Amino acid sequence: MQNLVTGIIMLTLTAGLYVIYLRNNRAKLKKAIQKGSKNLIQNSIRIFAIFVIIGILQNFLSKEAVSNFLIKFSGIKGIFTGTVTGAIMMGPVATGYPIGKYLLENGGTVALASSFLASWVMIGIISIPLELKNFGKRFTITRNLFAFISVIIIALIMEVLL
Amino acid sequence: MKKLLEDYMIECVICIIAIILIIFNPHKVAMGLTYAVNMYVNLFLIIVSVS
Repeated sequence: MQNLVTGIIMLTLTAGLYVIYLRNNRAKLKKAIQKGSKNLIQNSIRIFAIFVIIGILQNFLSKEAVSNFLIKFSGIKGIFTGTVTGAIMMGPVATGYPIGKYLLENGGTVALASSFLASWVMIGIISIPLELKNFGKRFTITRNLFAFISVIIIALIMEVLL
Repeated sequence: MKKLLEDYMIECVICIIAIILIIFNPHKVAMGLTYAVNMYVNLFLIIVSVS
């Protein structure tokens, strides 16, 4: 419902801008429509591909399977495994909290749980195609690399503090 | 065809992964595809206006 309301508001704003162009500059309006339709097709394919991979991953990597896999690791190995697994996971991070809770309750280290959750938020392997398209290769690689390093640092600090 | 492959290489890889997974577990892939379609339909208005 919230998406629908946001969508309608944004669509109304866009339509308003098109109407302004229609009155002032028809050549620009034609150009905007051409560019917009091209963007719509490209974005639709990319976004749909990402939704497909998220949907498939959510079904293949169940919460229990991920938790049982992660619980086997600890120390530096655990931090790396948590980071890589968190980077693969997609969707709202709130769905990862039960996994983090399960890890902590069943003897997983704080570093493991925090690296898993932090990398879930900060690193997105699945959304890399969109990031590449919008920000370019250099930005994407640098951002993900620094995010990876900072996730490890956060996990180490969390382990020391808690 | 070559240009399409160059432009949408990662999407093609995702498509191939999905096809391979269909062989192993069609039910789970079908659920994943349903999720993808639902998400796309939910966000369609936003995608159109942003484009």
